[in-house]
Amino acid sequence: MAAAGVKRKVLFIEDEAALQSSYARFFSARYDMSFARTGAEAMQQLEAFDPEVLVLDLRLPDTDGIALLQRIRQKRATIPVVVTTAYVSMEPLMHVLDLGHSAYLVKPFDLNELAARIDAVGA
Amino acid sequence: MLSARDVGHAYGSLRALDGITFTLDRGRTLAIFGPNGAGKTTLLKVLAGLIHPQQGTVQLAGGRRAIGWIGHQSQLYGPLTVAENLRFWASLYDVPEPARRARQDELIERLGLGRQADQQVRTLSRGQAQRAAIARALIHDPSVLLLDEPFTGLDRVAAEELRRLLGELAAAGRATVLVTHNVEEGTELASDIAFMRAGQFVALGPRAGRDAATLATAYREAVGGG
Repeated sequence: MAAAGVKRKVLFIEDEAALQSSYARFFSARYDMSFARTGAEAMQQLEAFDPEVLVLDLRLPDTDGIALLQRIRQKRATIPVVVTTAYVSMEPLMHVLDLGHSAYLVKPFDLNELAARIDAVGA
Repeated sequence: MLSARDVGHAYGSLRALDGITFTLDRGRTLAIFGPNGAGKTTLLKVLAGLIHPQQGTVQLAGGRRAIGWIGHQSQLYGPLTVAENLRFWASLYDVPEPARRARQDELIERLGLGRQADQQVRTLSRGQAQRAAIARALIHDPSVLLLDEPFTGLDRVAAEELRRLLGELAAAGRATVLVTHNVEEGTELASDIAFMRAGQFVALGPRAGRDAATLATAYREAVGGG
């Protein structure tokens, strides 16, 4: 857990520009933020930014989000991940739970709800 | 056999259903899990044709007569006997007389109500009344069953009996939609699962052999509320 007054480092992996803007406005005072728009950027930022929590959208332009999460788990086995998705399918939910240390949030969601999940995972 | 496409409905500013889409074939049982207020009963009413949705379409082979509804209320008349109730409901569905009598006798036997057939419904136990309600729902031989929290108020034995019966009905080719807030209650029956929150499906797919504990974990994650 972060020390009092120290913002947690959160990497948002999200390709929708509007959502990135919303995250930036809503969370900038709360978290130390970085963004990735693709799976490749996410893997790069995982090393460069060294986040404590990830927020991962399952639909990315260059990779399937589940496949990306599997790659992330190979590098950072227990990093907390909040998965966001617009998919209404049971399979991704089950995959995410199988991979562990993750929360799951179906779009559309309230940003307060996302904040609660970010704060809850790995706390 | 039963399908919903982009179904939406609101009560004033409250969005009760939002973009509900699914298809259910004969012999399949869809269990819809969601907390109180998620829109489950509204969805069942839309499927039953009791509410006309403001958005989207529902298609049902055989129309409304194909539906058997089991809800919170038995829809039986307390002062009438079980047999009289079944006769009354058969007449509402225009079940012709020779077939009606055979159907009534078959259901009374199948549901273990032989000793209660001539008993007033208001004197039945909760489990017996629920079985009578199921007989009422099946009197016109519906091909689709809509079940709203069917296990509520049943003891363990009666709930197990109901699960067995519903399993038999599905095996005989009926399509069933079951809504409940309790994942433990409906999982065993289900071929397909949906989690519902705030009028929307947040997960939908085949159960694929997953047990109640696994699904309960997934439900808490997808729907929230611990």
